[in-house]
Amino acid sequence: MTAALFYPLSLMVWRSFSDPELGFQHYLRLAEQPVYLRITLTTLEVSAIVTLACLLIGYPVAYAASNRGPRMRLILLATVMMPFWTSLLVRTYAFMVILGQGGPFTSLFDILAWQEPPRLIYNRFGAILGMIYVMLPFMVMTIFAVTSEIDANYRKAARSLGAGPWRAFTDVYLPQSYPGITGGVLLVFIVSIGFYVTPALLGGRKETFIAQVIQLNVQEIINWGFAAGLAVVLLIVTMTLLLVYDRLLGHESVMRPRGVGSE
Amino acid sequence: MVSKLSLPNNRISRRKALKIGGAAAATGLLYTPAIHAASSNKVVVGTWGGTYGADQKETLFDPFTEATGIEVEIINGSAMNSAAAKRFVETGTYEWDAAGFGQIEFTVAHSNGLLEPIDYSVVSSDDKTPDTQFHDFGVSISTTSETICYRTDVFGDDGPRTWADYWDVEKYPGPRGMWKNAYTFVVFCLLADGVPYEEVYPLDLERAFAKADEIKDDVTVWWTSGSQSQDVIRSKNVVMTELWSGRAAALKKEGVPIEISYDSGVLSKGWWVIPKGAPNRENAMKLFDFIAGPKPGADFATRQLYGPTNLKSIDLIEPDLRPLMNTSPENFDKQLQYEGGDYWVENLAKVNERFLTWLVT
Repeated sequence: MTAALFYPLSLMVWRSFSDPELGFQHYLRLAEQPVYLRITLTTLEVSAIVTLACLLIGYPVAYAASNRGPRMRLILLATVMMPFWTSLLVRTYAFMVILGQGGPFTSLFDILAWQEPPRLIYNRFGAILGMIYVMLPFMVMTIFAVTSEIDANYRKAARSLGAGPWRAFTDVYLPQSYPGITGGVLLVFIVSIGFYVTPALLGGRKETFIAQVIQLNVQEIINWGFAAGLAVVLLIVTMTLLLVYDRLLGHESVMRPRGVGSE
Repeated sequence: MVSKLSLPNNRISRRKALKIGGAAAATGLLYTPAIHAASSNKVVVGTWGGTYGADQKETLFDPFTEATGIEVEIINGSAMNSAAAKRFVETGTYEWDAAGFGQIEFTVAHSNGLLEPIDYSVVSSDDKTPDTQFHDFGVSISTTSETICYRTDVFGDDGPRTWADYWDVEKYPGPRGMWKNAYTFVVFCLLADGVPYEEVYPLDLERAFAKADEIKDDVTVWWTSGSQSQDVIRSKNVVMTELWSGRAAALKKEGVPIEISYDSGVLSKGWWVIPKGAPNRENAMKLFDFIAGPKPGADFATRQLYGPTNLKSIDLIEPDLRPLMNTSPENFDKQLQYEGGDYWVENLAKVNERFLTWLVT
């Protein structure tokens, strides 16, 4: 597995220094042209917002699925998993219909005779909403995998020792679910960074993701060396962010595996 | 990169390679290209799939098989661009022997030395019009135009017809659509600014992007695919948009209230090409000889409404369909004929970078 990852990766890194000629040409261009930094920052910013939103929505869902009985669990998980059975492209197009002109929202705005209604699509809002919808199941399932294993007796013990329900949650339940939160955040954030279709179809001109620039250089301009350079920079930025995250907030994370699922 | 694993000069142990291959296959990430035997009785073509691919099959490939006995194997939805050609040539494994490229892809592939020269002893000029169809490295059977389309339920008959009109947000208010594509957009900017056709190349980028600033906030949708371009005007998310001519004609035929303007259209050709060293290249030449003839060209144009490049095809097209096409005389004469091949070889990357910078700022 390690070889399967590192062999192509090293080929890519090598290409970024050697195609079409040996040297730092691609990295110099990346440094000289501010547009690539800007697009990288946009990609990271949107991905961070999506991740945070998925956590805020996903945690209560996972919590309810773990603590509100088998019936609720079934309903919630089925609802969350449903989108997985439809292709990404179809889901994205569905959003275009729902948020766009003639969709339920614009019709509602018409009924309300709203003069200058907000646009819901072809801007950052549309891109973020579409991405949240795609990524939410990943967050919910990752957190649920941990919360469903948390023994209810811990909280009962806390309550019997005099803690209020909120205190029992924050001091006893929440810390036990940290591995799920960490895993979910990492998963959602990393997958989001690589998004291509959803921001391209639901975002505006500023929601150009780094994957689109890589694609442009791979497919249209066929400057594979530069595309490799872009990918390497993105990889380094992502790794750095993950390390920082791990140092600051990581509790039991992939880099220091301890608590997940253990007693 | 991944497919380099199959190269003989690869310094990697067999066990390691198996491990890598196994892992990659297990994750389903590795595409395994089919390896085609030489001197077979077939030719493999790449198509976009969809109705376009289905029409290609019915009007071009099936009649070819009927006429010659050579089987056409179709790879649907495969990547058909310079990147694919480069991958085939670099790795020696070919997913297809022939495919139709757009003008700019053709230019890029050709300038990178990725194409097989056309054998004009096989592709005969008898029933064709070589001036409009033949290139040393490609054969053309159809065209496409960048057009402006507007909703007639918004503008009536007096809609935006030129790029100058498209830029005129006072006279023609409303959200606009545009292809998120550098090499077309910069040309439109110059046309909007009143540059005559014959002075478009070499592009004055300063002038183009100064003009671009004027329309920046009024382009609502920067579409990235043909089907998206149709969706945004069909659903009235925009009241006008750039559209590819065949897509536009199809929408009009479908009954969507739009008018198509060729008044400052940009017409370019599609090119059938063979990646250098493709195993069934001889059969591909025979295929080109057939599909570049008058009847296949006419039949395909009838279906997809992209005008033919074989001038002998035109008489075979139903008269009432002809005005819908970008190549009908009244439409043809109004348009900028794509040139600038050499310009784009030099400047494509630079213009793209500038466009991207402009776009996200």
